[in-house]
Amino acid sequence: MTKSPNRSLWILGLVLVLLFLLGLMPGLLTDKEVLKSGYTPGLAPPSRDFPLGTDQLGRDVFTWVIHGTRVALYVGTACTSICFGIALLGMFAGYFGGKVDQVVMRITDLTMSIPRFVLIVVFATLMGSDFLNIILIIGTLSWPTLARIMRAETLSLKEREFVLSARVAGSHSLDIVFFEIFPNVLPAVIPAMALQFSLSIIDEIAISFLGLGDPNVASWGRLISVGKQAVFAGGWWVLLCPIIMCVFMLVCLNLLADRLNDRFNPRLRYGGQA
Amino acid sequence: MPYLVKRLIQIPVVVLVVVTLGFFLLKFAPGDPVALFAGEGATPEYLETIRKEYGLDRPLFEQYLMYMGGIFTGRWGYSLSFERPVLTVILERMPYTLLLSFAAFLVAVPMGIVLGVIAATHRSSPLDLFVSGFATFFNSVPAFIIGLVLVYIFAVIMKVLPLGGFQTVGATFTSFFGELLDLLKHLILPAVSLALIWMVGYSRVMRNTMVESLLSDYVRAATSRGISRPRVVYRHAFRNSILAVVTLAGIHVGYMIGGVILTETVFSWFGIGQLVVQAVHFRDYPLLLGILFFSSIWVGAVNLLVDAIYVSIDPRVKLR
Repeated sequence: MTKSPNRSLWILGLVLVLLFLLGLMPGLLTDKEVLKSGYTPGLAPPSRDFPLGTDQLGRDVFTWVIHGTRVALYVGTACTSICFGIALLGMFAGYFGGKVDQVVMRITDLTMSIPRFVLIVVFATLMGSDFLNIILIIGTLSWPTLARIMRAETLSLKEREFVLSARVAGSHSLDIVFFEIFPNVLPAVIPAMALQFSLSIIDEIAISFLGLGDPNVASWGRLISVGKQAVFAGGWWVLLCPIIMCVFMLVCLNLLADRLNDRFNPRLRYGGQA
Repeated sequence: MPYLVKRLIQIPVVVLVVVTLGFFLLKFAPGDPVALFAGEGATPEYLETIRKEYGLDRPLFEQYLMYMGGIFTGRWGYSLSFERPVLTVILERMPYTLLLSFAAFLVAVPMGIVLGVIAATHRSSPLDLFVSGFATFFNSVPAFIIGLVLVYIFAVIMKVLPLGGFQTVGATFTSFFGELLDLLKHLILPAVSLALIWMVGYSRVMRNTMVESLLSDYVRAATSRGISRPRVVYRHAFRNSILAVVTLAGIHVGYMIGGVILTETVFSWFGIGQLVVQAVHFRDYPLLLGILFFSSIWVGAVNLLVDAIYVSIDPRVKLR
């Protein structure tokens, strides 16, 4: 592990790219319609026609799992982008200081001291189970960590010589923030974004598992809740297949976050050759 | 102003914001809770009576003031689905959530600390790699997924432990110990699935802070003064990591209610988490708001407590 952090980073990257491709083109592997019931009269074990079997309503589990990958990647990408967008406030707070900083940090503290998952559930109940709603809810309640990292990095960066020299040369504050500070904040933020990606997926799976998800979206969370019932009729495949797939993706994302941290922020890790 | 006082003031502010936000959002949510409460086929006159009875016919702002006033006098509204005061329902469930979390802590904290110390003192050995791998795995996966797999293995296939609930349905107990044993049996699976997730948090934090301590100058100085290795590890490096453990414990206890919603749902555990799901299912708005309110106070109080603990265990920490 300590010998070649690069190689493991490449392998992880490749696995995730493959997952992304799978998510973009689910039609490559399956010709069945997702969420369409009645392929079999009821629960059917894995067979040649249905590699991962079907659920109680005769829906193809394999197709659902593949489409679930797509849903998870969609949720991860969208929520992380929303978080990243809002978290840019942290950079301004750090750079401008004073009132701006105080206001932004108050909002951050406030958001952090609200029990997040309870609020996500409340919002999802109120605003309805529309897929877009759920993404917006998760995204707008999960940004404080990223904002804090951006602020902390900016605070140290703004005293560096290259920023000071840009300021002396008369650059506009916004130019400094976007062209001098922003690129240098990224190494600290990217690993945290990989982590946020997986946390958003977990939130969506949890919401769908509770039955608050969009009924038209083939989320793993919903399949898992179907599987929870199916095991009593012996249908282990309905429960275990989505679990294995989502655990695989979550572990890959967390490993990626760790490796990115090793590479970008070697000081943060005390292992290896320190 | 002392830091702790500032934090104390922060709690009502957070709660006020949360309740205001929650109240107005709930009011504008789609679906009529009164119609749901009355059931199908209720006459408009009957709906009107219910509205009057619960004060839902007054102007919105008046309802809001009524709600706020009630909150500060301990009247948290009336649960529509349980037909009992919200606070009573919440407080009735809280002991079960506390019991579950406490059981998980009892496993997670000591085990996590032991694993972390082993990993730190055997840095870069296969043992360390194994602990790290274990930690990465359980750090990535949510507790309810672990719970589902455990239920499948131990309750569905092996049938050695109950599927869920907190008591065997229909059982009569002849002795207190019989009842206790039954409760413990039901507690094992949910507690273990939470404990596994929490545990790796402690082991990670413990390992990283201890490796840092073990490489630091004061540990080197202690070693060069001839202090034995175990003493250096336990008296010098170990004590320094306690602060990080307290921080993590604060996070776990503070966000407990949100953290156990899914685990309690998987195991039908009779706690606050399951109550949330019930409130959602019945669109029991007052109850849902009450839970949100309760958990915000809980987070604030726990944060305050953690800060106070900081000051008392580490003389270097001076909170402004």
